[in-house]
Amino acid sequence: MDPDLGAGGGLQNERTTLAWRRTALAGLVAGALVARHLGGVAGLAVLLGVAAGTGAVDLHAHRRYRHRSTWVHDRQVVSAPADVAALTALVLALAAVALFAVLLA
Amino acid sequence: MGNRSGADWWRQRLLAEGTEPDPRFSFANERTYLAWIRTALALMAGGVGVDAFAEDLPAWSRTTLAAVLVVLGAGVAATSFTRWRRAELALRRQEPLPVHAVIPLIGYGLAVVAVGVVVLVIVAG
Repeated sequence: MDPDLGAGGGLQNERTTLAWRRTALAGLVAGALVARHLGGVAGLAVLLGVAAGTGAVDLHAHRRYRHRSTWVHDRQVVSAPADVAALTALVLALAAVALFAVLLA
Repeated sequence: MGNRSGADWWRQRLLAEGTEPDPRFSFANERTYLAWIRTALALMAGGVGVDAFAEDLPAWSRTTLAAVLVVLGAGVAATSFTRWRRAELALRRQEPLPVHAVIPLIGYGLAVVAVGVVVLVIVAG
């Protein structure tokens, strides 16, 4: 097995997990801004939803980090289409709420 | 999402061609997608921020600018998924990666928006 892939695989895995966590944090900040702009009960509900979503993404990233560290070693698949699709859906949902907040609040 | 069979179903639906690329390329593709998503989030936050804080602008232009930024953010998020998928498929088929026309568009577009905001602030203030 390519020795560079062993170390490189682990480092790439770590960088990718950090990127997921960075993205979750950016989502939390953006979501908090939307929630603050909405204000009131709706804003609080959005904040709770964003916090829950961000926490779930962060936890999931950690789980995948553990899975992938063995997958790279075992030369299995590492791409994650389900995760990519799910995050896209979450961000689009936040965009819908943000548009609502801008147009109607 | 966490279990293998669920992930396999998505993989079969979206990536059922070619062979598995070097994992480092898949990782890099995923990080690129995440960078696009952060860009989309920044655009959306920028839109909401304009609506919340840009008191110098007249109401109609503020709302329009804010809505445009949010919609742009949504567009970036949606297209980043297709970008990720096309890149992953190109990696699997060992073809050259697609080039994205949107990148210079975003650069020039943001410059135009910035100039527009300066003009609006000068005209309205």
